[in-house]
Amino acid sequence: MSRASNIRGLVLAAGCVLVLAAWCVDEAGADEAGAAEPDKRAEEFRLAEQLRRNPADYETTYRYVTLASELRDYEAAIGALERLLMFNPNLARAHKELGFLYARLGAYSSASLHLHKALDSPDLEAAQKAQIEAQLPDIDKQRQASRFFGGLHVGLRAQSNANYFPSSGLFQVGGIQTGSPATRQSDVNAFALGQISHDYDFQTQGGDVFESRGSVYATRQFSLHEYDVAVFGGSVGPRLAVAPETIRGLFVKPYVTGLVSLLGGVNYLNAGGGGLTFRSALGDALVVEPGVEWRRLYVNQGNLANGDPSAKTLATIATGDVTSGFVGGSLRLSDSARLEGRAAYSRASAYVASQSSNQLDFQAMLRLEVDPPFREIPRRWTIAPYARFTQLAFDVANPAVDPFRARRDDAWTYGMALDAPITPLLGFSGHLEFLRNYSNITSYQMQNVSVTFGPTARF
Amino acid sequence: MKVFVLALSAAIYLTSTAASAEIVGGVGAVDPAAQGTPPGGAARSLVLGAPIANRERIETKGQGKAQIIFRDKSTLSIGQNSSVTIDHFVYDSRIAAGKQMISVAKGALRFVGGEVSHSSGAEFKTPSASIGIRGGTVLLLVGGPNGDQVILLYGVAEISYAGQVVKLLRPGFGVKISSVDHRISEPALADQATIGDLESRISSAPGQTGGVSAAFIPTDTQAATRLADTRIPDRTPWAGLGAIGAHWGGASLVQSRAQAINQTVATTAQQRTAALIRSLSSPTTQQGGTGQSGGGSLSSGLFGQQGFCVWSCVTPTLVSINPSGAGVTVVLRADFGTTLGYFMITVDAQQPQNAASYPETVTVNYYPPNGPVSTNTYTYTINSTMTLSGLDQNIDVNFARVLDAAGISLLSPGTVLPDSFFSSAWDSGGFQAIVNLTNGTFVITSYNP
Repeated sequence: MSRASNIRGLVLAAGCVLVLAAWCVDEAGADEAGAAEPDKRAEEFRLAEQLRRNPADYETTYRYVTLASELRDYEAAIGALERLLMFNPNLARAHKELGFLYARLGAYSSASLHLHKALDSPDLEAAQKAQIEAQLPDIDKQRQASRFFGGLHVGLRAQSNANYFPSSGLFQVGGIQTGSPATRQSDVNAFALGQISHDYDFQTQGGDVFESRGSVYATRQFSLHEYDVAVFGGSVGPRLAVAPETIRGLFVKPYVTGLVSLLGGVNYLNAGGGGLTFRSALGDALVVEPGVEWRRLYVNQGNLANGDPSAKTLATIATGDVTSGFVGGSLRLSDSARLEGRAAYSRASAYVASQSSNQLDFQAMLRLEVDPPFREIPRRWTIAPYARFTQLAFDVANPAVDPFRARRDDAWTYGMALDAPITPLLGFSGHLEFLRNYSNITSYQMQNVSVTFGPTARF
Repeated sequence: MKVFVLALSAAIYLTSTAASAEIVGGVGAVDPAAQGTPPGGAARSLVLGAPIANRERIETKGQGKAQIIFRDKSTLSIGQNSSVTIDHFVYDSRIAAGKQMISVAKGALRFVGGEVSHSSGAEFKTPSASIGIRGGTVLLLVGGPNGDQVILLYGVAEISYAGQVVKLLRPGFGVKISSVDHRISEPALADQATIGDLESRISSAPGQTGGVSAAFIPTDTQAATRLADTRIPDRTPWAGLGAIGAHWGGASLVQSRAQAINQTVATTAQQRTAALIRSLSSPTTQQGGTGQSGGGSLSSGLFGQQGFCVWSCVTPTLVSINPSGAGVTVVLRADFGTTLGYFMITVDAQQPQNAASYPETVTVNYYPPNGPVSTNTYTYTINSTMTLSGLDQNIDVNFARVLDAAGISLLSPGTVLPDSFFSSAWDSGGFQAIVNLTNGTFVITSYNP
């Protein structure tokens, strides 16, 4: 794919994301009358004035609470709800709303107190209690120094091109285009993704935390068992506030990371390294996290080519060092829409020059949180369109493939993900994804459609 | 009717407030006994909706509590047995800024910030400390059994006394100020029991109604119909790109390995083909491999000794070699320049093991500089009696008749040739197509009996 095409693609993708983002902001920000935010602020003040004169006007109070919450003026909503509790200390719904508002401000003890009172009330309807039961464990954990979080996703993944076979069926061998007796193969796998996190909160004012992260990803192919995967990864490191008294929300995190994997039941990629990231909250809506990372890779090629050493130079991932610079970020567009993204540059220095490469990686996801179709479902659902562009450019040509051209791939991935919790613990998640890889070597020009779906559990 | 009574009470209260005092807020809720003393005025019981003036002192006794709503939307909830003075409050709604200073002699308070605390900050003074609040919400206990206590719920609070300055930055953290030596403790996470105790001093007790009649209190039924049924975002939400990224990570391993395997398979197939060709291209192997008899001389060259000859003889270039099933397809291009165009020659040789005859095709497509391709193509099916026993791959193609010693001569484009064009027996002579994958050449060896 040409550079001009890449730029057009990036511009198109960025345009789509911006249009979607603008739509989300508009949708999230528009009330029934379609009022703009300045108008809503004015309305909020008008209601506040009205309540100051007539504080027992409940209709106005509820409108005020709703509007203030929508405008993220959580303190105004808290003041009004606290007042309702002065009138009726047993008003369970006020306790519930207050609990959630305090949680949003990070005042977890106050949040927990109110939510427990709401749960204890016989007057609160079951759907409201279910919402509390879905959030309360997380809120209570925030008050503990040592806290675990985990998630499990199992399911099936179907791929149209599970062996990443070139679309044309043509290969470059020694610079000559040739076919192959092999063919593209679709396949389905059963997968399991487990992620566990542990935070040890030093309970300092800055919010210093020691973070441990672990994950397991395993697949079992129905047909292509040589591509069964098991990846065990983890990282540990402290996240420390930098000058918390003068700079709000700036954290530095040094960490070490490691990974072991099996492919077809045989050890494949092993990696270990470390990195340093800085997380900074820029205002209420934007969080950015730039960082650097170094990893040493060891790839066990096994008996890939029945003793042919040149075959071991064909893999994209190779033994050597990988150094990366990256920036991740998250932009809250509204209460129900968030844009998250990551851009990275990686330099892979392999032992074999033809496997050394530079890689660019851009990822973006627009997360739209929506209310589920049934009131009894306590958590929001997430619909998330996403896109990824990676460019992989090898330093020199691989003579076994094409002695005259160094491989360069431009891969585009587009997808749509859905996360649908059903109960506080269980739900469903899946994504539909299209991958197309443009390469200057026919061997690597390919596309793949995959569908992933299965139940989830979280704790 | 009740609204009317409340309004009337507020109006009476207003007339009794010093006319010169600036109104800074109103009474949002009140549990008796609570009273306000405006500057220069007499103490009066607070009533719901009554205005609060600058420099007004508010006191609660027994189970008395009150909530003051300020003009900047901030609220001050005053707990039982408290004494608070609104020292100074100014607010300009046009710039959403002002000044808010409150003195607390004793008691428990909850301050929920508004526009002033979000801009220039609010300031509380107690007998033992000064507390600056920026954009925030705090719980405050003054004159407790062990001194004063400040707990931050949101924003930033700065507590200072006699040169000591301590900042509260994280919600839930608090400090204690000793009643003995006025030392400010190190910030620490306040336990839930402490927060609960403070809240109970500020909130209405069971049976209290905040100044409205018991029949008029808000109900859950009412709240359920009025409040939106919106769920809050999860504190630890779905991992998003992190979740998808796990699949990408696993897939990248498979892709790396699969592409290497695919390439290896293609390379192996090509190398096996090349090895066969090399064995066939040697005169001995060719003689033996083809099982031909009669001897004769062998000579080799590209399409015979002079090349691919039509208007002239040119050396074709190799376009591709594709193993296909048990055979191979070879594509060559013979270019006669911009005025005449070029030929694409596709040699499709299938595995003929032990077959007396087998279909092999040589398709010659003529691409003139202008005009359609289809009208200028030749297609020949070659019949051969050759048997290649013992070989599992065959890519040799026998052109059974020699037109002339110079190589294949084609008639002018568009000429339809008879099927017998290449149908003579091998013994009468012919060409053998040899593809050398090692150096990428395609060699037709002429054979003359």
